[in-house]
Amino acid sequence: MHPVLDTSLTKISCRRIPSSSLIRSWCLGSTNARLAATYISYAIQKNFLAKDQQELAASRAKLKAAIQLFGTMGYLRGAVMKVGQLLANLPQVMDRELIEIFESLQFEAPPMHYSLIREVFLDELGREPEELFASFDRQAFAAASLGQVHRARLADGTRVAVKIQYPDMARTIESDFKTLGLLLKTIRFKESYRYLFAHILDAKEVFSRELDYLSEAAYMERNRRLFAGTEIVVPRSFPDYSSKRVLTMEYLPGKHLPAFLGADPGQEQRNHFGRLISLALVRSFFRCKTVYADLHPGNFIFMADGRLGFLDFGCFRRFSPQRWQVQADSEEAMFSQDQDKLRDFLARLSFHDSPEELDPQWVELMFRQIQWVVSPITTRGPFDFADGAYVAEGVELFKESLVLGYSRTDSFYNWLNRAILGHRSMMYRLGSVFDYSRLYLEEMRGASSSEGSPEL
Amino acid sequence: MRITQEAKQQNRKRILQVAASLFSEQGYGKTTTRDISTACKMAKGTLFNYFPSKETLAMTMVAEAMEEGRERYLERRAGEESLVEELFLLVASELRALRPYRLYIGPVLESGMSVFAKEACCPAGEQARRAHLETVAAILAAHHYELVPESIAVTLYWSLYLGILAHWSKDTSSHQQATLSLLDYSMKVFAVTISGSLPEV
Repeated sequence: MHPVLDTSLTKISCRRIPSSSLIRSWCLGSTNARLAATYISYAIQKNFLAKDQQELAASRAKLKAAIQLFGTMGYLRGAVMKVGQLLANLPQVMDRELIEIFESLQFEAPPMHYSLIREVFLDELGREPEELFASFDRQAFAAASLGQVHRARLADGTRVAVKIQYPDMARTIESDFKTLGLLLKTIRFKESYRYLFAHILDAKEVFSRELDYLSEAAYMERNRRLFAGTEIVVPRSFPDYSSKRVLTMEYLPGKHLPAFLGADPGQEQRNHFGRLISLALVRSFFRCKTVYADLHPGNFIFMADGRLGFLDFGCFRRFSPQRWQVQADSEEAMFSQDQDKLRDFLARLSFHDSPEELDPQWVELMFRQIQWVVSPITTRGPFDFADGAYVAEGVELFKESLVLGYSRTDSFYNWLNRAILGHRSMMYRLGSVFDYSRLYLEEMRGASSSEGSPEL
Repeated sequence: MRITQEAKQQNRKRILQVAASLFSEQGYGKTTTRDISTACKMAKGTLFNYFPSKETLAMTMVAEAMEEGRERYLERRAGEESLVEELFLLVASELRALRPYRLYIGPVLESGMSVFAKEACCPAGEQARRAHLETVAAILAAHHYELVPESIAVTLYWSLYLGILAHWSKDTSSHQQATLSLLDYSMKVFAVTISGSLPEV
């Protein structure tokens, strides 16, 4: 590990997770946190972004900033770390060395010690880990934004991964969002304030739901059924060993993305896993009518036998039937390039009564963004996700939308964007080339033909 | 009439049980020694033979739970814990044993273990304080530190410890998770202070 990061981790591990808003606001007043606040505003929406902030120019300065930010995020954890994970998915705004640092954030967050874990187990399941399991690794092997994961073995020998939530996360998230609310107050007179505020409330709801591991287990089971018979493996959960804050699931052996790429895989393997990751996203989108909002490398396992492990089902957003219909109409308009219908969609998306009320500059940008999003679908045959021109265009569009800072959209748009950007960045890093159009359209048709069949 | 040692023990146990349920039902402040003696079907004077005041009675209850927690800690420790982890385990084990008394432990500790008092106002409180600090000293010794009686380190530790109990008594988070965070942090602060460096966690 990088020596600077190593020191940073040691320091962080000695800090309590601060959960009072006062402490957190104070943290946010530090040098590190000013950077953190800037990044948060990237993720929430664009209004906080000072123009010169886009000039995170020299690579050296960026690295330093990221390490400082990393320190703060490790400390604040909770929702702030979520934002860190989100940003790691954006090669469009961050260069590779920054991504690598954020990856260590995903996998190497400061751990809870074993005495603390024992208390969580006693509170949640009434027994100590070593009473429940035949064996239990005291050291975590992975960390997530809201918890850490340990290897264990059930009495029958089954290998399991046990996710344990950090204490007091509910209040941590509550206070993170309170802080964001305070930061937002500085722009409360701007028209965009109420839309930004709505986005924050929506994100809070999604992140708060992520605290309930039983709900995650239920959604995980649903996805297990959804991907049965494919090369995507969703781990089985074990209800007798799970609670709201402890989730025991089947252990899936394999590599995360950096280790997979480190072994210099061939193009065929890159395409294969790119296809599987895409299938995971697209199928859950069409069949469950949900956006999987946590598409980052830490949630996929590249298994030696060619299967893809699909992990972590805490962070998702489900469409209402009405919103799903809007989405379906918009997809149709996108593929047929029907500009009038697209304008109607944009008006609905941005809470306007008619397309005439729309800001022409925003409409023009959205048309280009839509074009960028659908081009892997409208391009027949293999699509090269690592194509320099495609990636550069995405970067340009993203920058433009940051400058425009338009926040008057419904919250689903944010989650969809997050999922799409997450997907494109993973495809880019994998260097995948495959027929995405076919996969997407088959899944779309498959979902329509299964309409009315019993819910998964 | 003479009563046997065994009967005395039974009476004492019964008084503690009855008092605990009265404190839970009607609150510590509102419960009088008369209420306790009436519920025990004994004369108030007899009750005073066992416990000279309500405060002593409650402090005894708390001290016994703390002792039970320390016993549990000894059973649970694996011997491979870091300093912070072991201190955490000790206090967490005590808190678990103290759970039945959580809602009224504040006023009990205020009178029985105040950080301002040179000595606790009742022997049970003082004894509990000493016993707890002896265990802490043993933990520190095992990690090559010395806890000198009446030193600043003792005052710091004891202040942190009472602060944790105070927070815990009013902690509204599920399973008092917020206290677990505070406990973890406090033990790290203590370890950093006495070692003058970052603790191994």
